[in-house]
Parts: sequence; C-alpha cells; structure tokens
Amino acid sequence: MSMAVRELERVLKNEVAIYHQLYDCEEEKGRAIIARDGALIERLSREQEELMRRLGALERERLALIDEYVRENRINELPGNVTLRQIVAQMDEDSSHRLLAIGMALRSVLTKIQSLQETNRTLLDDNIRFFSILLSTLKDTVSVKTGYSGSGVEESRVSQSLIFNRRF
Amino acid sequence: MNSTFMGLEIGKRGIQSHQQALHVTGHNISNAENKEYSRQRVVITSAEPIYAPALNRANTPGSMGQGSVVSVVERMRDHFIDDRIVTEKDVMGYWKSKNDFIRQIEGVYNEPSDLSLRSRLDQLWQSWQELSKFPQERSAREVVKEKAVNLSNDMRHVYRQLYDLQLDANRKIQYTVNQINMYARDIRDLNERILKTEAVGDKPNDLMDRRDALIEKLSTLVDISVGRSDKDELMVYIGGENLIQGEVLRPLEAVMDPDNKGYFKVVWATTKTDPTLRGGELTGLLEVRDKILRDNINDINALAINMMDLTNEVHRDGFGKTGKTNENFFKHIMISDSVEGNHDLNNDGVADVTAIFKVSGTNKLDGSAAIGVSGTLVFITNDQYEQRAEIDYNANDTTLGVIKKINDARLGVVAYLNHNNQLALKATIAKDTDRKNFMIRYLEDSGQFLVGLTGILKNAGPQGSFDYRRVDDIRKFLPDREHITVAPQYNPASWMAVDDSIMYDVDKIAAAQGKDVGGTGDFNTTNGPGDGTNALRIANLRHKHAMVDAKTTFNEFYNALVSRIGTQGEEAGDRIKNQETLLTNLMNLRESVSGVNLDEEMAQMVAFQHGYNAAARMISTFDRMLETIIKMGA
Repeated sequence: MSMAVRELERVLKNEVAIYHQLYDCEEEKGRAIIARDGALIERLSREQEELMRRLGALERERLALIDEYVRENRINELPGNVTLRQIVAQMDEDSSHRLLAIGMALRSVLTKIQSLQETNRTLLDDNIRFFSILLSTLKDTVSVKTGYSGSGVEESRVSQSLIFNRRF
Repeated sequence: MNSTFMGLEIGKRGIQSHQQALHVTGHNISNAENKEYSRQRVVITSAEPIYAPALNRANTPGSMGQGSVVSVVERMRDHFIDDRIVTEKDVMGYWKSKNDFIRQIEGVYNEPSDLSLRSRLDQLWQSWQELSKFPQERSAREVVKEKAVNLSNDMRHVYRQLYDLQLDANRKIQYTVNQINMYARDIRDLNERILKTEAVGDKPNDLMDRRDALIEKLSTLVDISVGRSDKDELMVYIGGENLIQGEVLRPLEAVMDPDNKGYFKVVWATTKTDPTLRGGELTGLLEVRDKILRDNINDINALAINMMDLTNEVHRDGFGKTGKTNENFFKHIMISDSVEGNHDLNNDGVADVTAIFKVSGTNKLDGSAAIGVSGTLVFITNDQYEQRAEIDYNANDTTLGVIKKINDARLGVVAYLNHNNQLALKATIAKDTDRKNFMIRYLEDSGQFLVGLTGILKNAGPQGSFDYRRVDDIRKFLPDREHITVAPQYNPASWMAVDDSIMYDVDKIAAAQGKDVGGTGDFNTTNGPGDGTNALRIANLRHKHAMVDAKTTFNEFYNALVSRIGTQGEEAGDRIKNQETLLTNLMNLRESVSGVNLDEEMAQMVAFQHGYNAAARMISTFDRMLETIIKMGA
C-alpha cells in the first residue's frame, strides 16, 4: 500500500470523525430549537463553523493526496474525476475492504446529516410560521361592527388592531 | 321604559353569564389531562341596549345597557398546526410500519450468529474441502450430507419466516383499510352532528375536538389532506380524491388481486379504481409486502436455486465411490411435469410456455481468445413490456467480452463459463411477476456466437430463436437434455433439500472426477474412490462469481442481502427519530394554543366567581329598592 493511500485512509477517517461531531451538533440544535434556546443555537452554529473549517483543510489535503496518487499510478483521469472505487480497484483485498468501509461510513454519516438538517429546517420553518401567524393575528387590522374611532367618535364600522389600540 | 324590574333582569343576566363562564372553566379544568381537548373560552358581551331610535321611544336620555350575555364559547385551535401534524403523522406512520417489519426481517437472518445461513454456507464449503482430502472416509461424506441438510433446513426456514411476514403484512393491509373506513365513518357522522348543531347557532366545540382527533388518527394510517374552506363541509382527501365530503363517505376496499398472488389490493369501494397512496402506514405496508419482502424472498430463492444448480452441475460430472455418475446432489423439482419444460403459466389447463432455467453450450471455449464471428444477439427484457434488446458482437471480441456485454445489459439472463469452459446461460429473477422467475424468455442470434461457436442454439436468425411463449421450444437448443435445466418449481428456497439418493447412500456423493477413456470426448470412467478432485471443484464454488449478473459469490451475495436490510433498518430508525422531533415541536406549539393552563383557569375561576357574587349583590340591592317602593304605597 502506497504512502498516499495510507494518508488518504487517515484523512478520510478524520473526515468521518468530524462529520460525526457535526451530526451531534445538528442533533443538539434540534433540541435547542424546540426549547427555543437562541443562545445555544448560536453557540452550536459557531462550533459547526469551526468543524467546517477543519473539514475544508482535510478536503484540501485529500485532493492533494489523490493528485499524488494519480501521478504515481498514471491514472488516465483528471484528479477531480477519480473516484474512491477507482483507487480501491487497484488495491489488495484487505486495503480495498478497509477503504470501502470508510467510504461507506462517510456516505452513511453524510446521509444522516442531510436528513437531520432537513428536519431542523422544517422545525425552524414550523416555528417561524407559527409565530408569524400569531403575531399577524395580534397586530393586523380587523374590522369590528361598531366602536369608537381614533377621533373618539362612535362609528358603525371601525378598523383597528385586535389588541393594540393605535391612538389613545 | 326602564323599570325597577330592569335592574333585576340585568343582575340575573350577570349571574347567568358568570355561571356559564364558570361552567366552561370547570370543563377546561376537568379536561386538563385530555390530550385531544382544546381549551375553551367564554366571550361575554353586552346585551343589546334600549332604546332603538323610534317615534314612540321613551323620553329617556342615552342608550341604556341591559347587562351581559354569553355571545359564544370559543375553541382555541390553530389549523396551521393541525395540518402540519396531519402531514408529519402520515410520514411517521409510513416509517413506523416499515421499521416494524424491517426489524423482524433482520431477526429472520439472525446475523451474526453460529446458526445463521452464512455460517451454514461456510460449514458446507468447509465440509466439501475436507471430503476432497479424505474421499474414502465415510465420516467425511456424512459430514457433507449433514451440512447440506442443515443449510437446506435453514434456507427453508428463512423462506418460511419471510413468507409468513409477507402474509402478516397482507393481513395488516386489510385491517388498516377497515380501520381507515371506520375512522372515516366516524368523521362523517361527526360532520353530520356538527352541521346540525351549527345550524341552530351553537358551537359544537367538543365534537370538533373529537373530529380533529380522528383526523389525526386517520393521517397515521394514510396520507390525507383536509379541506376546511367550506365551513359547512369538512373534506378529507386521499391523493386528491374525496374520502369524506361533509356527510358523504367514499370508503376504500381491500380486494384480492389475482395478478399478485391473491394478495389484497386497495381500491375505492364504489369505482374499484386505484387510489393514489403516498404515505401513512398503509403505503408502508404495501411497500414492505410488495418490495422489501418480495426482494428478500426472491433473493433467498436466487441463492437457493443457484446454489443447488451449480452444485448439481459439477456433481453430475463427478463419480461416486461406487463409480456412479450423473447424479444430482440437491433435489431439483421442476416447474412442470413435462421434461420438455412445457408449462401452464396462465392456469387455463393448457401448457402455454417453455420454461427453461439454464442451458449450457456443447463446445469448450477459450474465454480470452477472439471469437472471430460477428452478429447481433437478441433478448427480450424480463419485465412486463418484454421489449427486444440487441447486443452486437464482432470478430475481435472475446467470449469473456461478450459475456460481460450480456451481463451488463441486465436482461434477465446471466452468462458465464462453467467448470468445463462451456458457455452457460441462466435466467434470473423476473422484474414483472414472480411466476416468471428463473425462465429464459428469448434467445436469438443473427450470427454464429450462440450457434456454431458455443453450441447453444441449433440455427441462427429468427427461425432458430428460442421464445418461451411457444411450447416445445426446447427443440431450438442444440445440447441434449442433460445440459438443459427446466425452470424450478416456484420458490426454490421453500423446497431446497438434499437429493433422496444421497440421503440414502452417501457413497453416491461424487467426490471423484472422471477421465475420458476411449476418446469419447466425455469423462466416462471414474478416477477411483481415492480421488477427491470433484469435491474440491465443488468447494471452490464458494469463490466463483455465481450470483446476480455473475459478479458476486454466494457469500458476497448473502452478505449484501443482510447488509441491505441493515441499511434499510438504520434509515427507518433515523427517519422515525427525526419525525418524533418534528412532532414533539408541533405538539408543544399546539399545547401553547390549545392546552389547558391550570393556573390561568384558577385565576379565571376566581374572577368569574367575583362577577357572579357582585351580580347577586345587585339583585339584593334592587330587591331592597323594590321593598322601599312597596312600603311607600302601604
């Protein structure tokens, strides 16, 4: 097994570990949304930003390693187009099994994060819509049959906010 | 004129209003723990004042108030949340029903354990390996027999359990349809009662709560949407079609479907047309029965038939201890009584197809040599459309290259070179109906690849083609019957067993290979009882890419099958967890609107009680005033 492949395995393992941390953050974010804990959501978002920064660095490293691998093995493909399967196809059975297992773990955790992000997006959406409807019901103008207008004169039809009088 | 008695009336109205308000507060408190209940609120408004402008009105200044009335008892409900809960509950129902079955399927495979099919397979391969080393020992032969019996028993057991689960899912489909109809009927009845109550000006809050709770229960079972735009007619739709329209109900029905093994099919009871089902437990169950369990049963069948067929293929070429040859190791039960493979597929009492599972060519080939002929192979797809599919080959292609082209096309026929380096073509699972599993549908060659080169078909062109839709079409094949396998009886995993002749006499296990004496072109004489070469060839089948599209070994195929169900289980578990989060949030939001807050209710109770007491004092005051007037006249 070449040095580049060993390094690639290390980088991919680190990426999987970081994605798992991202998943944990996302899970906690869901709980924070339900508890309407804005401060916690902010802290978790900052943590996620830091994790994303580390992932970015690992991704750059991974691309460089694949570049090196392509040069070493004279693969007739552009570096960006080489898939893990192509690399695995050229390995011994043990290494290929290990690398494929990491690839599967990466795909699995990414799918889980994607699904959880979708759930959290729906959670936020539900809360935003609920409070929008609530606020608009409280703030928006409604018509009542009779009442006192802003000038204090009784009128047969008055439009005003349901709970907040605009002028008194 | 506002008389002295008017004060009494105002006091009475005050008492009545506050008494009613206290009743509603009490009702709220009583239902504080009722999850289906929505908080109610009394709206007390002032009664119509006197006097209206008129010529005969009393000469009294102002418009005199006449106390209070309860104008309405409101129900605190947010339909935005209701509709969101309905949407998310059907997703939850869908994943829950799938998850329940996937967990049971995982239990069927019993992995990892010493009693799983994987261990049984490993043990059988190991026993063949041992027999190849000690072919003369009876104990080694007994072990092979016992391991094969164990594998067959387990295969049948796994099949039986999967089949039972399929029957269970089928029963649940009927039960769920009945439940949907029951809830729908209750909602329809409530619609009727609500409409009547509203017609007389009342607000049937509790009936509405009951209806909303039923709608939620219904949404767990099937994907519904609720139409509330018409205040007199609540609508419930399934896939855009009415299930309930006010007081009109269109029930569903579970009818037996002859095209799907007599399993239940869901239709609209009135029109017998298919509803559009997208979510809920019902869709989950249909998917479990017709996709997940069907795939698992078919895969176990494919594993069983390939295992039996390949073992038999090699075993028939070998020799038993007593020199017997051409014996099957595993039992092969044919789909038809006819050795020609003629079979009655449509159950009308007349054979209508030629059901062939496998055919091996007569000629030995060098897989990597150029074939030197060109032409076009024609197949038909193994789905309901049965469309022609052509594969071109040319002189520079190798046999292995053409085999790859056939396998990559995924047309329901797998090609491979057998242990004698002859081309073998065998059928896979059908995409349309399980009744056509393991049947080669169509073979035609415009050139000589399947004809002269490999020796599968007698003639080239459409006249020489094999078409399963014709009876007696076995005659289009060149090899003799020994090299053609008739399609197996349905569900081979259900009858997998070691052949009776082997069960009675383990000396018939063909551990030895033969030799060609007299140049007949065939192995006609045994190498002797001390030879274990054929047992080794069978043991080596474990490394052969013998399964789907000839790309996986038996063990890899089984591992993929188990890991697929594991992945499905993991996905279902994740989706349920996510749905629980969404529903918890929505329930919290609903609770903030419709839930009963006991502190708030207690405060209301005290306020209404004070109002009631004050109104009572008003009546006593007016009573005393009246007394004063009465005494004045005395």
